[in-house]
Amino acid sequence: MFLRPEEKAGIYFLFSRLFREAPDPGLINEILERTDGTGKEEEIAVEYASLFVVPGECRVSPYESFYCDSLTVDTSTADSPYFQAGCRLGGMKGFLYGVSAAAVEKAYRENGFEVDPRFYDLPDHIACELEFVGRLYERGRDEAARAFIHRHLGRWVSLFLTELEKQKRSIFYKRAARKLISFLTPEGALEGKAVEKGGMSECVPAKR
Amino acid sequence: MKLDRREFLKLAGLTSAAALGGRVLRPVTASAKEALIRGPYDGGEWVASCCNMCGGQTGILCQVVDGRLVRIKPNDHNPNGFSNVSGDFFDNAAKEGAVICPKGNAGIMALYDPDRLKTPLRRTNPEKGMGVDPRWKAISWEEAYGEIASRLKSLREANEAHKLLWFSEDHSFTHPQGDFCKLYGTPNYNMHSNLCDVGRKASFKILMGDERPLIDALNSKYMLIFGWNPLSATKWAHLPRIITRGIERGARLVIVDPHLSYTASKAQEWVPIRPGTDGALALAMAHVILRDGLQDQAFVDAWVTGFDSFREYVKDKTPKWAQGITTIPAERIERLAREFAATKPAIVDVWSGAHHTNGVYAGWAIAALAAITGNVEKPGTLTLPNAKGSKHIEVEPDGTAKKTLKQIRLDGGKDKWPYFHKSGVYTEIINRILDGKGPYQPKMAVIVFQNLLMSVVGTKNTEEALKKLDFIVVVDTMMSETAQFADIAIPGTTYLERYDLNTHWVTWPVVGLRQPVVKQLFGQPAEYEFVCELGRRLGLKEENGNEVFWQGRMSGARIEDKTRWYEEWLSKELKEGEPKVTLEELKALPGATWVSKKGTKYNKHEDPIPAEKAADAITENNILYSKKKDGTKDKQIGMLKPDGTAVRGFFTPSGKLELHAAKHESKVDAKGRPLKPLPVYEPREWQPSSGYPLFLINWKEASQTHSRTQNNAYLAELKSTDGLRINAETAARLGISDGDLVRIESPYGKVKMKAELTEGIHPEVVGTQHGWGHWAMGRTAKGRGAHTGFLAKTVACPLSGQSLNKEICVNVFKA
Repeated sequence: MFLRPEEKAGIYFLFSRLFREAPDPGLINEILERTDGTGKEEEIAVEYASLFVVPGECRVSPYESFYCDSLTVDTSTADSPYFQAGCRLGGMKGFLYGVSAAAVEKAYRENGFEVDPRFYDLPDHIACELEFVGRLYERGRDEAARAFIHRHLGRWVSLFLTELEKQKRSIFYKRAARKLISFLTPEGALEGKAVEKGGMSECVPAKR
Repeated sequence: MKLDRREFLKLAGLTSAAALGGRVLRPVTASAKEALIRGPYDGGEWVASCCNMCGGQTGILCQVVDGRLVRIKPNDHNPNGFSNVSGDFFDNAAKEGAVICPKGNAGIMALYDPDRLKTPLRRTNPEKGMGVDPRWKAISWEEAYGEIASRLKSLREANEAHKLLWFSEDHSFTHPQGDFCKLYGTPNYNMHSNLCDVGRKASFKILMGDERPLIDALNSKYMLIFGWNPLSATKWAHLPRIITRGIERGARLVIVDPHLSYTASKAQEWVPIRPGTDGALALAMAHVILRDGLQDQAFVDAWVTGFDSFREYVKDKTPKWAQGITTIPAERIERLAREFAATKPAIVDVWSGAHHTNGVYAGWAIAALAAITGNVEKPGTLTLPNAKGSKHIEVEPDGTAKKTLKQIRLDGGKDKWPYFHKSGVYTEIINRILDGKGPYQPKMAVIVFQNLLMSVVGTKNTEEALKKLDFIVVVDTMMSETAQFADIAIPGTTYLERYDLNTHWVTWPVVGLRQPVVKQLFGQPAEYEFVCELGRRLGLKEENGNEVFWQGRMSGARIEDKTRWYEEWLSKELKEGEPKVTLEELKALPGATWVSKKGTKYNKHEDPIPAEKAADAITENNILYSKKKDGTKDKQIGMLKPDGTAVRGFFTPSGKLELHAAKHESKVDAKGRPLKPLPVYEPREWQPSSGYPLFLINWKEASQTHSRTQNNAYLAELKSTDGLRINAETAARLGISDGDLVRIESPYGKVKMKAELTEGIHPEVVGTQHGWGHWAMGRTAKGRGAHTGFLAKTVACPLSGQSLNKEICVNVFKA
């Protein structure tokens, strides 16, 4: 299947929009090819919040840092009975705003973009990364788009989408996830994968 | 599902920016371009600030690289992490370096916690309750502000502003919140302290007229501590250092506690005591000291009042009498009393051990030991606080606000509680909402960083009370158990993303700055900005028309930017307060900490009042008061000694340490019972019975703060949960083995925990670390340990309003 860069860009923008915030009735109708989106709005908004916003059982983290980075607590200066017992820890996975977030922010800037402060969210959010790829394709910068997929999006989007597909309560976004998978597969964005290492997953970049 | 080109193209066709409602990336702005060229964070920078993982406010240095916090270490320029006496700090801090506790290091995980709230949320399910899914929906900031402001506005316009309850943390941005309440018109501003130490505050207020004396542990030779675990439950990070240093220099540490706490394990002596009987032990010790003439008579003659009635009262409080009450052998009480009286300088202190119905009197009896042995205001003793810092600039509410401010507080306020603290009485508020017998029914609550369901005794009552409110706003960084009852939940900021001024609790004036170390993660407003925005939307003004939430306090100009508005607010508080510097000047000081050069002073009660000040004062019954602008009596500033010289004295009605409180004679407590003029021992109200034969207590440790840090993955690695500590002999009698799952029952509820057998707890007592048992908050916190609030009664000390967190009796069964 051949898609022109500007067509690809459009699809990246659409998925970016879907993960940015819950869709409005118009968009729901378009996507579901239905006319009864109005009634669905709140249901999908609650689904969106439970998946990507509200901490809880079904939250699927939409951030690159959560999957790819680790956070270390430096305890070398701590004065505590616990440390006397020799309790020192290495990095832990699953936190926000890791090195990936700073790196994508830098990539955006180098290409003339920054995250709009009205977005009220982090630069390595799935919506930002998808839109950024779209923006590069839109400008015909295919090579830069592929490089960003290789360095960032491709490292974690499959982990994110796999988690999303597992969510029992999700209906709308599970469908969106499947559509995104079928779109991203030929893009080579799903070839990066998590490798189990010492009980924790580690991201390896997609092959170029 | 397979998609074909046709469908993709259809999807691609939807995607004009307009159809999708805009984009998240925008063309780079000039300032960001410049930052890119400069490499904004290359190599990183260190930002000085203050911790807030607990209320201790230890100085920290934060390393920021590429806009990300990567490391937190102690700030050697801030005494709070080093010592509470100035000589030690000035001489040794640079050589030895300050400390922070494990929570301080782990603050980075609070900032980058994956379970943080990040956008305003509105519940779509009107039903509220534990385990009920609120069915949250993300809403915009505009929608959140709009709705909250319009609810507040309707309440105020209906002359019902007093029906707003406000709950806040006690160390962070309390001034803008308190001022908001005042200008809005509610007398019902409350904060955390009544869950914490208002019992202790009352005890010391009665004795010495100051609420929070500090221990000079470094210079002490004997430390007798009741119900406090200062080496682990570090109220201030300097405590472990000064206490262990005191021991190294030859001090003896004696811990009176039903539980062998971490501090007790480092003490020379652990005295296991039956809960609620500390007052009896203190009185029996006083008995021995006075019987054997071991008191410091010269000090008593000069500085103590009520000595004769106190001596008369303790005449029959023999060690034998106390043995029957406390379970401590009489001979041991005799020995402790003699050792304590003979070793000088000595410290005697109590903290949350006083969370029981005899707590205020018991604390007073404990404090009395310091008075009769002259262990007050000398190096190595209990010293008066000198915590002068920033100054709260009072606001003057307008006519509309004044009408509702006149309403009585829902908890009855100072008319009801003889030692009422401005933090309010949470348990009373919950009880009145429930039974409807208060002066009115509140309608709305704003709850800022208070997890009432986990922190107020009697969890089921708190749940029912919250369900009765029409509209609840919760501001928190986490989806706390209480946030789940919110109609609108607002994402808060961590201490690494906002400002505060911290007047430190050391023995001389010090102010530490907390400042944003990184940008607010989700672009959310800091809490003072949130309150400011509401104040603006409501158009709140002072009586003279001054728009407090617009006006820059330094420039007098109308300021749009709310961060800048608050920066001027802080500058004014600093300029008018002790430091006399601006915020910018404070930032530039080493470690962003202002440290008074005057240093620690002892014997402040002997300080002469300058002649001109004394001449200008109003004198009544040998007590000197400053004058208000209108010439009427203001604050107590001193006393006249028998020789006529004016000195500071103690800020009690007599100007002396009071073992007999004459002012109690005409007063009653919240239950209508006459106050006792002496530090009496009376058995606490809830005693073990055949159905509930064991005392249940709880405590705090270095690994967690209250119920608020349990989602911190690093702290959870340090200690993953806590079980029920039970004496091995008691367990054997109940057929319980180490590690067994046990059911703990009280008349109010039941919980399950793992039994941890130990010799280190009184045989009549079971206990656990407070704060576990979350059923919400986040993936790390949820489901670890048990919450003992379900077992407690919703009740406060009738003198101080102190929540009675440790007055619980239970039965324990093998589950």
